[in-house]
Amino acid sequence: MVRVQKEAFDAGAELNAFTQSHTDMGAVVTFSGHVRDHNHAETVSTLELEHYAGFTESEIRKIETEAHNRWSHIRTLIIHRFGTLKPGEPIVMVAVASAHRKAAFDAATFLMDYLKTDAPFWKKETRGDTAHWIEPRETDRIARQNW
Amino acid sequence: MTKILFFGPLREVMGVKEFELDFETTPLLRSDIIARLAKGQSTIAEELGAASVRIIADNSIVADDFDLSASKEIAFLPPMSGG
Repeated sequence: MVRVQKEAFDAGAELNAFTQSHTDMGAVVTFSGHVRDHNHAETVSTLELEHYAGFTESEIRKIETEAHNRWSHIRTLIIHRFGTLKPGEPIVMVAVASAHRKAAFDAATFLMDYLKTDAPFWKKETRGDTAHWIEPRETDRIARQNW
Repeated sequence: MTKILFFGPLREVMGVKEFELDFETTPLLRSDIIARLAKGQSTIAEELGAASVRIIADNSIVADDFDLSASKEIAFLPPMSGG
């Protein structure tokens, strides 16, 4: 399941609901990403995430479908936010359930590596009085390429 | 009318998120749209024409030589920084 939303989410509550709805699965791995309060030795006040409504959802669904093609018996939950976020707020959550742990760990890493490079979002971070567009990172590109 | 959309840094370069234009040309290539939007401003032509900028036509990623004349919505996407 893919959700792209402006509203904050409670990663713990989402994890509990996801786990309860997949009682046939013995392993659940989750990742959640949050807004850092500093970057480049400066204090971060806000992080704006811009998306392309409709297209962003469909591209994330493609990533999810690819994970299901690679690990056939997993269940997945992907939540990604847009809008203006403050430090500490959740940005993204990925949860993968599978019969055993390896597929859950691997698929969760795969989903995050792909989301980092292929999910249509543009991030703008405000540090001090200045806003900076976040550039894609080479390490993220390599992580995705290695799959 | 064709809707043209810009995202992220490109939205700021263009100073607008979206607008509508009539294109009479067939075929209509990415380069034709850029020429019309840039109106001789080399900075805009360079930003929109950068190899890292992808074109989305009606929700599908298309190649540079794709004929956009039948597309209702065309988006210019700079490199993404999701997650």
